[in-house]
Amino acid sequence: MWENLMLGFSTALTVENLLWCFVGVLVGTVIGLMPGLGSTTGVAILIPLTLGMEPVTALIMLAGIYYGAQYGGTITSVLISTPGEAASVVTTLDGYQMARNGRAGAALAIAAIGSFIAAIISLALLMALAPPFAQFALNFGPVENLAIMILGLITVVSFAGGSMRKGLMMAAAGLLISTVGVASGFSDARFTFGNVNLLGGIPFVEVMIGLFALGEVLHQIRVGAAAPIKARFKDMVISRKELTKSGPSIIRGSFIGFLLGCLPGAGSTLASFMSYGIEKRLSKNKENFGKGAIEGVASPESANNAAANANFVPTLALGIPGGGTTAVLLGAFTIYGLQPGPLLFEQQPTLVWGLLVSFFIGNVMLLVLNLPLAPVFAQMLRIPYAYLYPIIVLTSLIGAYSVSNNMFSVWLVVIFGIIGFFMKELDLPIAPLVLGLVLGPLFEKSLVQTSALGQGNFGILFQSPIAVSILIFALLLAVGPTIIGGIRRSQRNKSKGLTHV
Amino acid sequence: MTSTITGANLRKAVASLIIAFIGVAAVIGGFGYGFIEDGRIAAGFLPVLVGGAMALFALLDVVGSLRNSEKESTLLETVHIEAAETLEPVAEPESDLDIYGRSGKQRDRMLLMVIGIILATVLLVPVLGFVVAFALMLVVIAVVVERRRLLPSILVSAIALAAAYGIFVLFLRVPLPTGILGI
Amino acid sequence: MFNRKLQLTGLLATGALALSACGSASQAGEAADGSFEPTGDVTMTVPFGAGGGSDLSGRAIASGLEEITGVNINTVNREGGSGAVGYSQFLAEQGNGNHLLATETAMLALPITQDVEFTYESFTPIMKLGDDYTVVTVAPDSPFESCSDVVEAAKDGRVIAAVSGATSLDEIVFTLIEQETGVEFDRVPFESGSEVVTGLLGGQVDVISVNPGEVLGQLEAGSLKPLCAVAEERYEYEALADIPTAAEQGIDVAFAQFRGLIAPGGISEEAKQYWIDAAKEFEKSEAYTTYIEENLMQANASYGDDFVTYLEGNNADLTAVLGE
Repeated sequence: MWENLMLGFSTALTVENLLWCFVGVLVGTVIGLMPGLGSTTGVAILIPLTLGMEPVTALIMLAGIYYGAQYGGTITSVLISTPGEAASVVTTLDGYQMARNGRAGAALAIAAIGSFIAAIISLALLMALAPPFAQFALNFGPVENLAIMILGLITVVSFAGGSMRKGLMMAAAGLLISTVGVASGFSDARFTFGNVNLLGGIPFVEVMIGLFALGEVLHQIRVGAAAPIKARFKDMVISRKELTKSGPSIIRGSFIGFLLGCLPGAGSTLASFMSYGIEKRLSKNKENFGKGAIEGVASPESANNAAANANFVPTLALGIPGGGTTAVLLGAFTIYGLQPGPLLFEQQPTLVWGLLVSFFIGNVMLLVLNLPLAPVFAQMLRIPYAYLYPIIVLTSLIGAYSVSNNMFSVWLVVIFGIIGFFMKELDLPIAPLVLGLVLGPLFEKSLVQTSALGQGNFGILFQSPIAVSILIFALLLAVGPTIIGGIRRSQRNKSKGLTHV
Repeated sequence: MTSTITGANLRKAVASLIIAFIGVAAVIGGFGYGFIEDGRIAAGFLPVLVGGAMALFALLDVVGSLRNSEKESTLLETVHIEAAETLEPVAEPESDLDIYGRSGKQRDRMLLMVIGIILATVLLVPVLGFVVAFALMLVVIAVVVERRRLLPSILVSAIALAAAYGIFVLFLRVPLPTGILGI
Repeated sequence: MFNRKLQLTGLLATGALALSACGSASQAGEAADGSFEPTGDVTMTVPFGAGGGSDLSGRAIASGLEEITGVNINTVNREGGSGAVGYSQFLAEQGNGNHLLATETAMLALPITQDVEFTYESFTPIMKLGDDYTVVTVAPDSPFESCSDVVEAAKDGRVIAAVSGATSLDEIVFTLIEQETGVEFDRVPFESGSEVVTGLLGGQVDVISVNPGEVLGQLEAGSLKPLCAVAEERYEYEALADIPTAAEQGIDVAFAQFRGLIAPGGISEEAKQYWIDAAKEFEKSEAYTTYIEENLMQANASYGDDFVTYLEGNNADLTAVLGE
């Protein structure tokens, strides 16, 4: 294995490859800064640029774009509360609050550091354990996926804080929105009201741009222009205390991300939501979450990066794409004349190990690039909002159009922008809605498949040991704290009673 | 103590009531698509399930926010903090002036104007083309809503638009819709 | 799937167009003999998601036609409803000679099984690229050694087949086998070829029927076991030549999915001819051969009215299978 690793490093560490990796990271970051353009679109659009290169160089550059775009999305999540993809929705919760407290630089730095550590951990796991993990992931059929979806939806409970019913209401709303259109396996067009554009459903990218970017702009206009956030440069740099506080969160986030990322589908999104929920449960100062807790940025950012790497487990070991971006990269493999499949490790060692090492290199680049740049990006908040918001509106709507070259997407963003404004006015949480919308199609698919496998009987859910374990975990996450709190209270009362006696 | 219902709570209760109605409508619509067919889940299963759940939680919310309105108003601060999504820590009192000295009413008017301008812009895209429509939007927001001087507004708008054009059209080759002017 | 040189030239051409910004607008429309010429960019709709068989054919046709016509062709994926979304939106492009769609069997299957507003007669067929058959495949540790084993097992017990959509090719193939042999398979719906393969490898389903081009890597590695090809004759490709046909195993079923190119209905005769001519050039190109070979398809190109005749026959067959 070490030989392979050396082979990878010797491939990746040439001047030419380093240069293209740098270009990829930089271009990727710019793309990630644009609303609507995530890593999947970024890689897909830029594949043609790599056609003249050596396959390894091309893949290294594409990996750079992948990570760069994710990081670009993190920057906008933190600075203007506009996530680039569903996996960075969670980052807006505490990242944006940190920015409002003048700590944008620290939030961006911990995201880069967290991603870097997650990349190292997941790279090690990927190299050592890709085949067994891939085999493990194959055990996740419809039944187990249904359990995972239930677990994912239950994490909403830990987001809602005091107003659990509002969180659940919005998660249900997200699920309901996801049922619009023709679901595969059925032939009925649901809730389309005769509109052809709605047949394909309401895509979450447009909803996300609307609710977050446009909704926040309208909300800020209503609240009134605040003074630009003036922060001293010193405050922009991350402190040692924040680093030590984030350490365990980063490690936990990385492992959660890797595990969920091995499963095809919404792994990255689920991983970020779940790691945030778990951090909040474990944290001693829960009340800080949602108000700028650095663990609330460190953990989901590590998780979504680890999940992005883990997406390559089924891709490399089984030849099955693990996520949107890996599917596009698999397409790129075929352009370079490579046949993706289980034999790739044997037939193309230089390429596979070069690619694996390039994940590492890409993250080093991001770290080197962004630690000094984070405070600089944070200076963007000094721009008076009156100048900033028309530009946010412009890029949001162009970004929406470019998702599928369709004016309908632009209308969706405008409509959901107005909805987002009212949700903010009425204290309705947005993150659960996005989670419901992303999980909805997967939830429905696993429901339908489970129903077909069990011939209408959902009892088969309890015949799978994996599914049962997941459901027990979900139950603990949902009611555990209440029960533990209740036990503690009754114990306290008991001891009180005893002293009275 | 007598329980008084605050305006904000009433608004929230009405909003949740509307959401509950949408949920009930989804349940009715969902049954139209078929709930269970041949012992297996049909197209209406999920809409019925989540529409029902949404209506249930929304009704709980209506009851909760009306009943707790008194409690909530004394605990206003904690409730606001607990709603993790509330990005402003505590909403400013309505009459507060912002840094440009604009009152709440003025800001409400600005908000309506911005929404109107955005809607008009999107409607004008098929006629004027994407670039022209959005150039107009940037300038109109700067000059009319934010009351900035014409020349700097045009300059800032031009730079922003050129940057967006460079990235989306020249670099990413997004075919933005063109209008009667051919651009 | 893609010819690298071809793609690069396409890229350079479009890059040059983009750099000159409005150059493309002035170039279009000037046809030497006054006949049809696309104005501005052309859109190629793929009614399925990125990475699937339809997507590959759509992108291969787009880059081939780009090189031949010098026009920029943007490929967009309009997935949903087993293709219903893409075709329905394409229906609204009536009379637009600047729009194309990468078609396959769903164009016929959807109107038969679902309440959609189009039939194949709503569109202008341009080119049929070729035929894509499927191979019935199981996991390597499966007790089944032939398709007749599968049918025998289904007579006495439950055999779970994965299908990738309500009107997909694998659904049609399994229905044909059921009608031929009188057995019944239990279906679990998935959403794409790769999901179906995942379900098979994970042991959630017993048998699948896939386009060999999608699983060549797994077949070569021995992580999938092919049972029979649902085709009239054995494959000529070396990797697949050993797979017997279904008929050899006593199940007289063969069904191919066609892949092709259509334009919206109601376009001018000149526009139709323009695209047919371009498509004929495409068939002669190396890109076409590469595409057919890499996807293990049978090259059976036909154009315009011949394609319509083929569709009529295929539609009658499908109605017999799917219509109730």
